[in-house]
Amino acid sequence: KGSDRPTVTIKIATLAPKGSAMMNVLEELRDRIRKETDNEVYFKIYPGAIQGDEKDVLTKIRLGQLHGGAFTSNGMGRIVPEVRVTDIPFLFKNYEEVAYVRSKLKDKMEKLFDEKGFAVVAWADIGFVHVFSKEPVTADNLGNLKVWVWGDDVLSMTIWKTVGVTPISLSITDVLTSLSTKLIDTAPSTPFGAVAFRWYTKFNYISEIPSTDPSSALLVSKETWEKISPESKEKIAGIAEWYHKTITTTNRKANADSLKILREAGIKVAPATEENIQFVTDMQLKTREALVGKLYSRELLEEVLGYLDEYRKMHPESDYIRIQ
Amino acid sequence: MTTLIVFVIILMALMGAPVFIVISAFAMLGFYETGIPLAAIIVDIYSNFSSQPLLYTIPLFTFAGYILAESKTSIRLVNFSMAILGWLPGGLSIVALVTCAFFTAFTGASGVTIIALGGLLYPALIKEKYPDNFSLGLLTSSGSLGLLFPPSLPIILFGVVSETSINQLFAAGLIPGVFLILLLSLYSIFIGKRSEVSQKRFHLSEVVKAANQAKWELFIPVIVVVGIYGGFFTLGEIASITVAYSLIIEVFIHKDIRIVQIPSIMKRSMILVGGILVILGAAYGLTNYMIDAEIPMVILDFMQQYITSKVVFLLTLNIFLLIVGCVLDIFSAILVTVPLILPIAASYDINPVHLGIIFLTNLEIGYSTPPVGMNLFISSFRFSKSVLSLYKATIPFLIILVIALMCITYMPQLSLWLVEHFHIK
Amino acid sequence: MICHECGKVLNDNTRICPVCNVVLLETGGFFDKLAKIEGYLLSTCLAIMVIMVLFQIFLRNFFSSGIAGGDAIVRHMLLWVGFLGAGLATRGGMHIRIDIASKILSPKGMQVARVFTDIFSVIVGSLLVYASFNFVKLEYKAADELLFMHFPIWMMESIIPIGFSIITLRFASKGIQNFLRLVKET
Ligand code: NA
Ligand code: NA
Repeated sequence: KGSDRPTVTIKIATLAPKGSAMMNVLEELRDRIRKETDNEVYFKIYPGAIQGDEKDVLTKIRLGQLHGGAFTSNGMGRIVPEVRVTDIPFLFKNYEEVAYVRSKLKDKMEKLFDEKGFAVVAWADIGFVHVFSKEPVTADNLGNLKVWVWGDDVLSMTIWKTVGVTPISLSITDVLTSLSTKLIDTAPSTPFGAVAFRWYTKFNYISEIPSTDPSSALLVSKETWEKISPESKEKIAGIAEWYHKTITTTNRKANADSLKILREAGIKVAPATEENIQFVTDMQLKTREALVGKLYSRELLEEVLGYLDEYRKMHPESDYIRIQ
Repeated sequence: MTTLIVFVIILMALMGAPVFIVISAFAMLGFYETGIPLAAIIVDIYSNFSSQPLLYTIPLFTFAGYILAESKTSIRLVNFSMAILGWLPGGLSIVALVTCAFFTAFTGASGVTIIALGGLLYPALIKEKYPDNFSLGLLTSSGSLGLLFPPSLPIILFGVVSETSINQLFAAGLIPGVFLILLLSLYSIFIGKRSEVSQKRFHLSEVVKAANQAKWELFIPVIVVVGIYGGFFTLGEIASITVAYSLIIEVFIHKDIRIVQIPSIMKRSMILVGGILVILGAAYGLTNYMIDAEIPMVILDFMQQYITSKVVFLLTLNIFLLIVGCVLDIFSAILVTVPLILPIAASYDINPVHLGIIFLTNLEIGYSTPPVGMNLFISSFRFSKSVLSLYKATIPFLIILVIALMCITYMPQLSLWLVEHFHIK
Repeated sequence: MICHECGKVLNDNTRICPVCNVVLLETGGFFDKLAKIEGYLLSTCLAIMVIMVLFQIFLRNFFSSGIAGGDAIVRHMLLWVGFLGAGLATRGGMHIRIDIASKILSPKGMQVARVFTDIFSVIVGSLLVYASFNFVKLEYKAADELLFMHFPIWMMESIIPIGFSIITLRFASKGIQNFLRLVKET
C-alpha cells in the first residue's frame, strides 16, 4: 500500500447528473472510502446515465465492463424483484413509515442480493415520487393520458393496468425528448429528478400527495467485492451508515429546493380530494394483490403490512405528507 | 503491436473497407486493450435500438421517400414548380433546386436525388440553353440540398445521437435551408440572364392544371409540418401516416406503382437503411468504449488548452467538418464525430441546436467538395462526365455555399430565431 | 443500384461491376435463396412496424387505449429491419465506404485492394459474430421478456449474431470470388 494506484478500482455508474446534490455525496463517499481504506478501494464513477439506463448498467456488470452501480429500485428489482415490495404505490404515507419498514427488511434484502451475486455497499433514499402532468390527473381523464413508465417495469405496468391505462415504456434517457415530441405527457418523478433531468419545463401540475419513495442502493458485484480486504470492508460498512444518513437528508433538501424551482416555474399543485385518495387507495389494494407471485410472495407482503400496522399503532397521527 | 493494428485498420479504411467494419474494429481493439469482453460492443447497439423512440422513423420516412422516387412524383413536382416559377429568369434552375430539396429531405442525400431527378432535369436544363457546366454543378450540389428540411434523416440522426430536441432542430433548419436555396437561386437568375435562357410566360391556367396533378404529393410536407408542430401526432406516428398516405396516392390514385412492386421497393429502401443503421450500431459500440475510457474528457482538456475563444473554435470546427464531410458520408460523419464534439461545443457555450445546423450545413457541402465528395462521383456516372469536369463545375456553387455556411455559423439567430420566437420545445 | 466501389449506376442484378471488376452480388443457389428469405422477412418486419403504429393511433383516438408493449415491438422490429437490410447491403456491395482508394487505384489495383478489404471484413465480422453471440448468451440467462405476448428478449436479439453471420459469410464468399477472378486474370 501507499502507492498512487488503488489496489481495487470499482467502476460504477449512476443516473445522477454530474454536479447534482446526489452525485456530490457519492463523490464524497468515494473520497472517504479511498482515504479511510488507505487507497485500497477506489470507486470510478460514471455519472449522468452516460453508461446507459439502469438496465444497460446491469448488463454491463454481468458482462464485466462495470462492477457496480448506484441503482434505484427500478434497477434493483431486476436483480431481486422482492425489493419492490416497499415500492407499492400509496402504501406509505410519509418518510417515517418507509424508514421503519425498510429497516426491518434490510437484512433479508441484503441476503437476497447476496444470493444473486451482489453486495449491498450502502442503502440510500431517493425521496417521494409525485405524478407530473399537463392537466390535473383525475379518475375521468386517466384514459387520455400518455403515461411514461420506466423500461418494461412490471410494477408500474401493473399499477396502470389496474386503472385501465396503457402506458408507454421508455428509457429514462429518452424521457426528455419524448416529452418534447409529445410521445408522453405524464410522468412520475421526484421533484429533484424533474429539475435535474430538465423535465419540469414540460409540465403544469404536480400531484399533492406522493405515490412512493423508491429505495436505492450502491450495489457491487460480489466477484469484485471479494477482492477487498476484510479490514477495508469493515471500514466501508461504517462509512455506509454515514452515507445513508447524509444522502437521505441531502435528497430531502434537494427535493425541497427543487419544489421551490418548480413553483417559480409556474407548476401548480393538483390537490388530492377525498375522492382521489379513495381512488388511489383502491389502486394500491389492487396493485399489491396483482403483484403477489410476480414480484414477491404473499408472506413477504403480509410481513410488510404487519410492520406498517405496527408503526401506525405506535404513531396513530401518521398521515400523508402533502406538498405545502 | 497496437500501433501496428491501428495502422492496418486505417490502411483498410483507405482501401475501401466498409465504414461499419472499420468503426467496429477500432471499438473492439479498444475493448480488447482495456480487458473488457468484446460483447460490450453489442450492449449499446441493442439498448439504443430497442429503446430509442425516434430511430424507427428513419426506415419509415426512407420507405416513403422511395415510394415517391419510384413513382412519377418528380415529373408532377417539376411541372408544378415550373408553372409557378418558370417565368423567372433562371426559372428552371430554381425549379431544380426546390424539387431536389424536397426529395433529399426524404432520402437523406444518399445519391437517390441525383439518380431520380438528374435524368429528368439535366436534359431539360440543356434544352433551355443553360451552360453545361452550370447545369452539372447545379444538379451535383443540389443532390444534398434539403438536408436541413424536415423530416431529413441526418437531422433525426443528429437529434438521436446528441439527445437534442428534434422539433427544435427541424424548426432551426428551416431558415438556413431557405437561405441556401435563396442564395443559389440568385446565382441561377444571374446565370439565366447572362445565358439568355428562354423565359416562359406565366399562365394561371397552367398553374391550376399542374397543381391539380401534383396536389396529393404537395400535401405531404403539410402532413409532416402540421403533424409535428400541431401536436396531434408523434414523429413516429407521422412517419407511419406518411408511408400509408404515399402508398395510397401512388398505388390507388396515380396508379404509378403496382402492389406487387411494393416488396421490392421495401427491400431497396431498407438496404440503404440497413447500411446506415449498421454504422450507427458500430458507432454506439465505439462510443461505449470512448466513454468507458473517458476519451471525450481528454480531448476536451486538450482543446481547451489550445483553443481559447468561441470564434476560433467555430472556425476550427468548420474546417474540420468540411474535411470530414468530403471523406466520410454524412451518416458516418455524424455518428462518429458528434459524441466527441458535443461536450467541447457545450464548453464554448454553443447551443446544441445551432451546432446541429452547423454540422449539417458543413456536411451538406462536403458532399460536393473535391477531391472525394460522394455527389461528384454519383454525378460523374449519372451524366457520363469526367470527375475533373465536375470539380470545375461545382466550384462556383461551393463558393456560394461556403459563404452561406459562414453566415449560418456566425449568426446563430438564423437557426435559433424560429425556435425562440415560437417557443418550440 | 450504384456500385459503391466506383459509383457507376448499374441495373439491379449486375453481378460484376464492369468498371472496377469486383463482385457485387454473390452467385450460387444458397445465397440466392437466403436473399429471398431475407427479403420476405424484411418486408414483413417493415409492414409490422407501419401497421402497429397505425393501429395504436386508431386505438388511442377511438378507444382511449392501446397495445401494452406495442411501442417496444416496433423498436425491436427496427433491429430486425436494420440487420436484415445490412445483410442485403453486403450482398449488393452497397455498404458505405470511404471512397479514396477507388479514385486513386487502377481497376487492377482496386481488385487487389478489394481482396484485402474482404479478408479484413471477414476477420472483423467473425469477431462481431463472436461478440454478439456471447451477448445473446448472457441475455438468455437474464431471461427478460417483452411485455407483448411475453416474447423472450433474447430471441429478438438473436438477429444480431444471425445478421453478422450472414454479413460475414457474404464477405467471405465475395472475397473468394474476387480472389479467383484476380488469379484467373493474371
Ligand atoms: Na437510449
Ligand atoms: Na462524402
